Amino acid sequence: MNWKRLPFVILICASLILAACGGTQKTTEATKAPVAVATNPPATEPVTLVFWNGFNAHEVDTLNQMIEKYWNPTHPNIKIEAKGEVGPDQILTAVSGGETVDVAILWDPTPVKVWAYQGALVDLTPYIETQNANLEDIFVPAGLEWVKQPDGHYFGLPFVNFNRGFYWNKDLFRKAGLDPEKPPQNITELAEYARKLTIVENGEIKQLGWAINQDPSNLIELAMAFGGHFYDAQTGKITATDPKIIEALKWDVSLAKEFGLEKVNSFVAGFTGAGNDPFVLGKVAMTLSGCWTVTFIKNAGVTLDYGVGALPTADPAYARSNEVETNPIVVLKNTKHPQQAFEFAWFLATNPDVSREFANLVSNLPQVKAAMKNFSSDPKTMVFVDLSNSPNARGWAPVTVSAFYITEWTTAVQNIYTGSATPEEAMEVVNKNVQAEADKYK
Amino acid sequence: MLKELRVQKEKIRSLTKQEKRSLRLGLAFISPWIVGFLILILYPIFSSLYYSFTDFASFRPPNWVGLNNYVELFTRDDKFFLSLYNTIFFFLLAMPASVIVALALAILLNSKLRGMTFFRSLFFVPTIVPAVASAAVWMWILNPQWGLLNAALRLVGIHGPPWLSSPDWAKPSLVLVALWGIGSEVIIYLAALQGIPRDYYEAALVDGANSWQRTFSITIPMITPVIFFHLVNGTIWAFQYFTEAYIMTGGGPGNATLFYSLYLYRNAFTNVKMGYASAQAWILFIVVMVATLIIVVSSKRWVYYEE
Repeated sequence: MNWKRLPFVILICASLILAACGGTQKTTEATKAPVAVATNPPATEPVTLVFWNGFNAHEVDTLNQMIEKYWNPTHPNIKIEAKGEVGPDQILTAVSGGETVDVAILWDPTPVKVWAYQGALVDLTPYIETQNANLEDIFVPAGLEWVKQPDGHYFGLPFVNFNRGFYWNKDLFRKAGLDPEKPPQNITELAEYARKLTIVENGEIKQLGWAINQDPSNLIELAMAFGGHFYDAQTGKITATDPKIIEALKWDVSLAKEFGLEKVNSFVAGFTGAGNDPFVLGKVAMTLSGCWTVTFIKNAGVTLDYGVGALPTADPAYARSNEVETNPIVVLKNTKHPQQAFEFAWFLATNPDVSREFANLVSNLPQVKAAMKNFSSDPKTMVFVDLSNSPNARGWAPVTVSAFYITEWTTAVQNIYTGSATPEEAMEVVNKNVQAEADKYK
Repeated sequence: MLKELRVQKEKIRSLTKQEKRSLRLGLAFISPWIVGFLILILYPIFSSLYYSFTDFASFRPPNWVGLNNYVELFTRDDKFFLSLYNTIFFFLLAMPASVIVALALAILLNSKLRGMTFFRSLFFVPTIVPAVASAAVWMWILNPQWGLLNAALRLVGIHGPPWLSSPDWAKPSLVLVALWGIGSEVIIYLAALQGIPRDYYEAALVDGANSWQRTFSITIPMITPVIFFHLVNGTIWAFQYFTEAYIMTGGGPGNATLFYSLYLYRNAFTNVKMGYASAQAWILFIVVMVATLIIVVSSKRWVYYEE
């Protein structure tokens, strides 16, 4: 051994030992977290809860005003320190670095179950039980799926939901000689209308009747309209090779091939980037889009005569299918005040006034049924509210590996439309990869 | 090397009291940096080495899994090899292109023309634009329908490809974006060009060398140390390439731009597999190390230093 290198070797060893210790320290902290639920909630000593969320500064200001108005009078001893504009990545890093975040609202529901599996979240089930409430009665069921484990345990609560629906341009319908008040009723009609509404000039697509090759999230909606299921709710198995999903993709691709796949791709690729929505610009006659697009069109100051409704389906059995997601509220494991944190989470999730006002502010939908009636004076927005509570409304894949699933799905969809894979081949790969990943979380 | 160390030791031993005091003071002054380096850089580096042998997922205490992460990467993870392939492809495309473009621009900017300062500034401007902003601008430039690039190509009768949404063109598009921000390399080449003694060119002129010969027999050999520097830096950059791909393509279409760092990031933060991502990071470290070593070893053959 070269003794001159000894200091360096010691340094490496020390670092490694330190790193190992860092891990074990976390063990003790994790096991120290209280599991027992205090049956007598009122806190005697004032506590401050750190509350992180993904909303922007203006939205956080409004949220703070609501906290001031609805929370503070009844909970003088639980102060809320809200911080906005933090995404799941930052929360993940902060919490694993030992920073205390008591309550968080994530802008995307996919981390909830994987974080729960990794032990980052407080199981809210015992606290919920103290409320003597049936969650299915309080909340829009589809939004709830993202925070409910198959065994019935809750690792979060829903906060303002969002979904997508069918948009059609009434002016373009008139120009094509179609009744603007009669959107297509089923998939066959959708294809017929799509052909009638497509304009090709000098071999180039000038207007597309139906937005083919949409955002991967929208294609999930299309698959649902064909009756496709992305996982088996009973067994938890991944079902990406569901023939109905493949049928939906084939339908869309075959429509694209009628106009030329390459031409459609180049037309679609022209509309990427903010403020460049082909439907808003009148270049696409029928599309799928989020509930927020109604407000977006209003605020953009464009005059667009359009209608919204449920996506036409392949079979009446799938009528009013739509995919609902939520901004989940979670209580993080390193909180020192799980009881108070739950109380605050419960307040945010269940207060109808907060739900109504905040969902309107961010152009989302209420997660509590009590806030649905008279939610908005805008009839178009109300269409989305009703859709989110339809019997065929659900989360597409509220499973532990949903974030992994969406990246695989996105890749598959891209491969299908660039012609590198058939729908069958692409979905075979998705199923294999996602199932293999899911099997690690047993 | 060892001899030098021994000499250093001798020197320290033979220091006067005053000198020893200065040394201690000096060390005390740089101690904030040393401590910072140890805690903020060296410790995390070796932590990640430790974590690469665990199933660390940020929250739970990590469990030792031995070589599992490495075994899985090499035997069961198709995307690991794909991302490595994409990265090497990007490196092989971007590296020579950036040397040629930066050098060519520097040679042009070295000519004695009026208003040259303006042009020098012009080519440097992109480097001060934040990556996120330039990525957003480039997404518009590369837009297949309304983008400037395809509009320009249309003028000469070429029907441009859909750039970022084509699996074949996505990587070259990102190389193009990278070349746009080459200003700082241009400045370094320019400084090197101006450091070449004029007498070499005068002597060459006397011998009747044309400008082509002057470039390849004087200019390029004289600035090989800078090319070497650029190669080493560029290699490290190319293997860690992340931001623009993250913003502009997100790894798509069909994983065509799933670069190594992008896949690593996805595993760490989306799939919450920190241990696995740490293993990836260490493999990247070794790959970069080997690539750099090859360049360093080869440099003895082609880098000329003035006597």
